[in-house]
Amino acid sequence: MKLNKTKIFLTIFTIFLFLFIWYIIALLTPSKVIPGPIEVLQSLIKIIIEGDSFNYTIFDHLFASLWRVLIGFYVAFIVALPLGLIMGLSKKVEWMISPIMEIFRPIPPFAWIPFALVFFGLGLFSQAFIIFIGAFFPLLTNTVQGVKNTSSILVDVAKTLGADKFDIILHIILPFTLPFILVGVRVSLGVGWMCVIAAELVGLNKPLGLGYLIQYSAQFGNFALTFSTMLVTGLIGYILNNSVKLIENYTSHWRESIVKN
Amino acid sequence: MSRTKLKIEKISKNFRVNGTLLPVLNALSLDVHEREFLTIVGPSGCGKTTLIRIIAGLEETSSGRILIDDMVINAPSKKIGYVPQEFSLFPWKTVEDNIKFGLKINSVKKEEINEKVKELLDLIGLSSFKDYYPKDISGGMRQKVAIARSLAINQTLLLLDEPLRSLDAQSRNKLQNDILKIWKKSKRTIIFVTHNIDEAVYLSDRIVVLSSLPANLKKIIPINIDRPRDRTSSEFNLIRKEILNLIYYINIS
Repeated sequence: MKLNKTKIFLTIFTIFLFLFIWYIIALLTPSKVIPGPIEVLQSLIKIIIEGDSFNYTIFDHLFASLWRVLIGFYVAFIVALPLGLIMGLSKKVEWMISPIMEIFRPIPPFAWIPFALVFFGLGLFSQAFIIFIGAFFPLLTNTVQGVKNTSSILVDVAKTLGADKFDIILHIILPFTLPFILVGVRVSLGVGWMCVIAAELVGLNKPLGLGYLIQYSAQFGNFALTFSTMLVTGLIGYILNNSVKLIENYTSHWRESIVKN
Repeated sequence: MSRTKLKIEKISKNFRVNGTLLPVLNALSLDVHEREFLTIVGPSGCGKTTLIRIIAGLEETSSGRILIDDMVINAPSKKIGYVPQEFSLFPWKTVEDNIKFGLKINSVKKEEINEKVKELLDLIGLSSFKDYYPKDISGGMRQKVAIARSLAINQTLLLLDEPLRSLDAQSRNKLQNDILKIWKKSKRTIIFVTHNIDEAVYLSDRIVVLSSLPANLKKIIPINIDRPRDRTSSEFNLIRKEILNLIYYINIS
């Protein structure tokens, strides 16, 4: 890829501009409610090396949050994928299930927190459940879309080449739907990551997780730690998103033909 | 005259559009001979594609029946290959894997598959493109791969529905020769749909002119010019003129 000098310059320029404005605002705000960039960096180094008052480092918090997301996401994936496939294949199943899904979909995952606490109690399952709710719908809708969008020409051609229903699902519909599923994966990991931070604000049985750290540090007035944890949260979300994007690009290299012509 | 490969017996097809019946094919009968190159022309939207899809077993008739080698068709048949206008290759498979597809799902042995694919790549002249994806080859090449994919599982009747429509005039002429070559060497029967009269006259043993909706046989024109045909010869243009008049007459009436 060609290096774009203007792009690099502009990016670095705005980062410095942002840091400068941040620094000025922090300086002008009374009583350190907004910590400056230097304090945030110091606090970040401290939480990486020394850890918090329980000696948990940022990595302990980070992996606790990631683990919750992955469990919730995993369950959402193994439920949404087959369901989406069946809904995309059969109009009747779609008619049966869609109305229920459409009512449940707009409910914010956080609205499920009280239910989760009553049903699952404090701990991993409660948080994983919230993430499940957040991750489930993007996966489901994208899978259904992919199956429905499968080129009818390809299905017809496969039939004339002797493919039965099973062959068509395995060799035509699934490969065609894969890019859609990956978009669903990316969106639902993003939603899951947002959910875990919120879910960790309540219902924890261990003092671990980025969401917990954000809340705990703010309660104790350690706003520099609050901000550095927020930055780490953003960074991880960015990495999650782009990792799936890489897989998307790798597995969808054949797709250009559909777009281009 | 060689034996009948495909027999179309009084088929009719009605579509239901907003509650009213739209007759598309009206008691159409036609015999296609073994190893014949038959082309279907007719005014736009006259049901040519519907006819092809019915022969392919992808669409049911409202009445009448179609026989291939004296057997009634009511579902896609392994004897009949279907090459639609475009985008019919599996885009996530390479040229080679596209050709293999039918063989693989019909559980043909590996050595046999490889041998067959090699032979076909040779026939269509794309051996050096075997690892390319459909997006990276030209429209003409794609259509040849689609034809080879049909030939791989020994489909003896090929239905080509405007396969060269998206090509520019020069590639089109080249592809016409390629298709003739493939047709001769593979000894298949071809039913070819086109809007291009010049193409029809250049390729066919017989040309079927359909009427406008509901489609029926307007005329069957045998082309008794030796191949390779000279597109500028007077006999060639006489036939072109006849067909143009037939279709134009249909269009304004």
